[in-house]
Amino acid sequence: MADGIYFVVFPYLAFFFAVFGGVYRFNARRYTFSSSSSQLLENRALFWGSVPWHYGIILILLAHLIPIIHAPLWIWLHREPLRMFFFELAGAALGFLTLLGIFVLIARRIFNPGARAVTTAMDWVLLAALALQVLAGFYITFFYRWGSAWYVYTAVPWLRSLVSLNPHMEYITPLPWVLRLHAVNAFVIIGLFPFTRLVHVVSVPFSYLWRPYQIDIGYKKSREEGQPEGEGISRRNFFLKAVIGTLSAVSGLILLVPYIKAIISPAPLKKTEWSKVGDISSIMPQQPKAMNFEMESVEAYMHHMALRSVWVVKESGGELKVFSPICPHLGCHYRWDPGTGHFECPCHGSVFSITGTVLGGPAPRPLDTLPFRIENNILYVKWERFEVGIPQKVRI
Amino acid sequence: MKIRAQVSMVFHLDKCIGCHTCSIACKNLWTSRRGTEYMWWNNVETKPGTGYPTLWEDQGKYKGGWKHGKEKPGLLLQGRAAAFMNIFFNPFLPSIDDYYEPWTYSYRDLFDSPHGEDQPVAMPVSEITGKNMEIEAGPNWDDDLGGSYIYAAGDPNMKAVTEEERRQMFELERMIFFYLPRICNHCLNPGCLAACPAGAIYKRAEDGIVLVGQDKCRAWRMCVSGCPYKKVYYNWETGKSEKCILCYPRQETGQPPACFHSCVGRIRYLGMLLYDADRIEQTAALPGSGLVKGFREIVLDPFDPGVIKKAGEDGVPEQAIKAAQASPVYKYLVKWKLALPLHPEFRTIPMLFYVPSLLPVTASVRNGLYEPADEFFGALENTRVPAAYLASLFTAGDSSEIVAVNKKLYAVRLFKRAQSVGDVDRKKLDRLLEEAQTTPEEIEEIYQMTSLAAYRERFAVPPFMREQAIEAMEDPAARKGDAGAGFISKMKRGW
Ligand code: SF4
Ligand code: SF4
Ligand code: FES
Repeated sequence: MADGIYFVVFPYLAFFFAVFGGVYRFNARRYTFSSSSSQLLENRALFWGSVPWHYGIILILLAHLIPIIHAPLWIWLHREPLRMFFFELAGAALGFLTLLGIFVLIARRIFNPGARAVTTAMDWVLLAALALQVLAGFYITFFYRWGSAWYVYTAVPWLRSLVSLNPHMEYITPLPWVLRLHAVNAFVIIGLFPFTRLVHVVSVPFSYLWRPYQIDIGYKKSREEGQPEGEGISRRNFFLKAVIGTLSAVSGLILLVPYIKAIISPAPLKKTEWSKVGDISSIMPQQPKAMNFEMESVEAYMHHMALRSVWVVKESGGELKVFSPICPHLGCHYRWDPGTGHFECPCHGSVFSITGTVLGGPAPRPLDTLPFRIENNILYVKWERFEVGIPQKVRI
Repeated sequence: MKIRAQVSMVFHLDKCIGCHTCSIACKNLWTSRRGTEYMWWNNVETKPGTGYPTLWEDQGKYKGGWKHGKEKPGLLLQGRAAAFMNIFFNPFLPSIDDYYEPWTYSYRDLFDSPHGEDQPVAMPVSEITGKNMEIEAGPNWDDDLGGSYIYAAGDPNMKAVTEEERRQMFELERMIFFYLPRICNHCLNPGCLAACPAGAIYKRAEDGIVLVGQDKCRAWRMCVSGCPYKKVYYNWETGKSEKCILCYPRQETGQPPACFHSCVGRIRYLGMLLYDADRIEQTAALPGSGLVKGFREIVLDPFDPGVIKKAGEDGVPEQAIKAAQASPVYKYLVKWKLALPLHPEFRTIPMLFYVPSLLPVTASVRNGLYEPADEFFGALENTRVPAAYLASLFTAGDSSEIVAVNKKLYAVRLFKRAQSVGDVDRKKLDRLLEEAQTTPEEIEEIYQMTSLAAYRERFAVPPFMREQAIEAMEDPAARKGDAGAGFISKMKRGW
């Protein structure tokens, strides 16, 4: 019940507050829309706070956003261990940057009398929420490794389910408390948006890139045309804007179709087919073997050849089993330890027997088996993916 | 050609007595609110001196104004994309210490202190933090310190003078200073406007007054840096930038701005100019030596029938054209060529012009009597404030313009002395008139406008064309105390 409030009701509420509060404040109290910079009063520490904070947080937010918008891209980016390592490292570095930034920003507001003088109660609330968020994020980076990889299978489906108005909180509820805190606090910050200086994030002045340097505004034409005349905003510019607008609208539409499809059903669009894995005659009983194969996968609008792997186990009776290589806990790749004769997951230490049953660790269900068939000693499997972190085996 | 009208100004520096009445008039009217205490939309600084904010003329430090080069126009501050990189921290923003920390005194203590041995004192209290503070600087901290080694020697314009001139300027008995009242120049090519990422600043099309749209400002602070004159100020309390509004609510009711109205020395003139908006870019790109001339040329002759016709077509109302014809600024700037722009090399095309002061260098006191120097031609080029110094201030380094203005000013002075005292050699006077390229008629006109002009001649305030003003409001002073000019509803800092 409480979980339902945290992970379903509250996010919607926060979003509602953000949108309606923001729109209301923009229309009724536009004068208060400001980043309320305190640089005039305190110049030195601000540099060490504001710059790392903003650069760090923008990139981190992007990294959180891209998988939500386009999960297949993110998954594809993480397919190579080297790239995954890069993301892990970049995430940690950016996390450190934001941590440093928020620490300095808070410190200067405590210790610099000028900066303190212009700090409102809501500023403190916001700073506290942000600091908590960054701390939790930082903690997760270090204690739940490969976050950028499993994020796609946990928070992303949850967020997408929220967006598609079909909330599924089971993706996020079984996670450790820090992750849950991180998720709820994110919506606290979203809810705070219209009540704090955070409103400045929707004021990114993109038009500065193309507007003419000088602006004249007169009232003359307004009577004929119904709005103040901006002589500086010339026709050429209007044209430019129209072109850019149309182009982005068209490309947006093109992109949108697969997105919408993906939102409605986040599974790969193409029906799974039998993929040829290889010759299994050499597999010894009780010695699981990882077999790699290539298959064409279609995710949203991307076609590509993907390298997959499965664990093939021949039991003592000669009976065959094929396991998906994805740990049912949070989606890491587990491995076979011939010494102990167990499958072990390096991420959070889940241990599975050779038949796939859970022997230890946080895994909520046995290893996932995949359908297969054999023709002339050649193994064919039907590649499938399942939700991780939940006790049921649910196909994605 | 695209003709527009611009309210513009002339300050006659010879007449400024440094009384700061103008600054106080402005302060009382517009900047007596929290967050604006440190702002002086009108300030009067002593030259040579470092000014307010300290060293504002040093664009190596503050990066105000425009770049000069062959390429497209660009700000010294940053390119358009760089504005996004610097938006979190503007590296060239003056800090409060470059202005001064505003303070008041704890006057209450004088009344409320308990009975005791000691006399109670009123301690200085910061108007920002509310805490006791050490006063380290204040408005006009360097007032009258024109010969000081801290303030005068730090003046960026001193770079223009030679070592020898510099030495002479600091000799006690030759020491000299003059006042430079400064307000926003309401430029034709404003750096503040061009630097504003939010597009909040704009020029009113009907009179060219440059304003910061308070609802659009998002505190990106780039305008403060973009203005080379440092005439946009950041209100740290409300998180909005503010600047001189040329008292448009007063102008709209036919009155000149408060600082003009109250000027004790009557040094200030206000009037319309017609100019060719299509030539702004080209004028701003002129080489340094051509700037003063270019500024005069962008201004159009309001009596020329062609100009009048075109102005009408471009939507300049007839009253504005009439105001331009009556403009004292047009006379000083174009007709008499006596008024010069302040630092034209910043290329914002300022619309406030200065008649440089003809300091009393060519006179001496002999036997207790004030005597003009005998050899005034030589003396004019060898003034106590070197022409190079004034040139650095007003002509982008072109001393010949300064000398030409000085000659004319001197011609006026001697001509009138010849009339009233009669001790000037006729031949010398004729030679001076010739060198100054002036005539007795012109001198009479200059004399009339400089010394005798009445209120309405000095301030040719264009009639307010209500139907053209967006900012028309019911009561511009309704929220003066808490929000500033022209707010109908109470404005407060956001959460
Ligand atoms: S003087 Fe400064 S504030 Fe005034 S218009 Fe020019 S650039 Fe803008
Ligand atoms: S009021 Fe006039 S005379 Fe006095 S300081 Fe201001 S400009 Fe100069
Ligand atoms: S992903 Fe957590 S134990 Fe495997």
